[in-house]
Amino acid sequence: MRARGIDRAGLAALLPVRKDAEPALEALLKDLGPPSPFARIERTHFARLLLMPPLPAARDGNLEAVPRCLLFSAEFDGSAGGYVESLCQLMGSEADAIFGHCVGFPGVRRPAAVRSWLFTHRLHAGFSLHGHPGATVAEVRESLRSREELIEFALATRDADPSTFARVWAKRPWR
Amino acid sequence: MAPDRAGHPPSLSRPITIIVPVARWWAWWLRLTWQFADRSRWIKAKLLGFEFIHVAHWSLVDRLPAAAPRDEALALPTPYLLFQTNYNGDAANYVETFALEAAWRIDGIWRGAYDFPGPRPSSRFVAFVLERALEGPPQSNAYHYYAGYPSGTVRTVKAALKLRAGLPELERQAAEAARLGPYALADVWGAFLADQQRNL
Repeated sequence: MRARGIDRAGLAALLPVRKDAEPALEALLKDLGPPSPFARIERTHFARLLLMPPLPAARDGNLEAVPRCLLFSAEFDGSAGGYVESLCQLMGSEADAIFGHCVGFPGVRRPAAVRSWLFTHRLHAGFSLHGHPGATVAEVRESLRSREELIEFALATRDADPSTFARVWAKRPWR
Repeated sequence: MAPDRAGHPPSLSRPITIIVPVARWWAWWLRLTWQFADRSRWIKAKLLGFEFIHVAHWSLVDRLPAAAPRDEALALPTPYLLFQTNYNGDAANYVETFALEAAWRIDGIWRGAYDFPGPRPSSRFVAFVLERALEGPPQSNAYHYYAGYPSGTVRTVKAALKLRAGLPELERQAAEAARLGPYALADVWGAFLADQQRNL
């Protein structure tokens, strides 16, 4: 776990869906955003909600007796517990609507119970890869913005003489 | 920009999720080897060198709820390997690169999965993954996906972070050069561009 940058483990949970709720959840996921409610949790790098099909059997067919699951997974800055609190606070109505179709969801008014519920369903990542693990969402966004500004500045000043460049430099946008 | 071969919408960050049944002995093998592999820079360096993986996780699940005590959970008849990744680019190219450039690593993860064709020929492995990719056709399950910086590829994010790390030194040198005159300032800027050209 990290205090900053992507939490190495992320948070992923397989959440059994109530049998009668599958069509409603499917419709809800298809209509969710844009904008995504996860955008309100600014430390979210990536998030997904996926209504899984029945699990495939080892040989043929599917495990029809096992309930279909909603896969919730997110990559974020900070701790998983803190992220669940943010989920309850910042996208409460959507979280209630989505996870309310899952077995045992306690409701966002009880964030500690939501945390316990999600952690009981949590998948442990055994092997993980992180392309840029040390950077927070804010740092990535700021860096991408600065890069665009630097590129534009470089293109705009490529033919400038030193005196003109010095005047333009005083107005550089990334300061 | 057209959807990629997995049917994902045109955007720079995309998800792939697959879940496959694995032999019980293979789950034991993975639990054992992951303890070493997940801490090994040597094993990960090759995979991270591809520069299209934002994040990828492999997990095992053998019961529901996955982290509940065994006597309180529904035991699955066989363990399952769940792979989920956030990446940029084309899904088929992603999987194909894995197969061609990291074949033994792929073997070391999926060898015990039912119907796993092996990493070679790569076309079979690509088909194995894409046919099971839960987001795209042929499966097309309902999903919602969010990326916090949708315009950033792994390569541009890394380049931007390196560029940003160089800005304080640029500002320091520029402040010194500005006192000497516009030619010195232009020289500092030119040197910065030359040093950072691979990140622009």
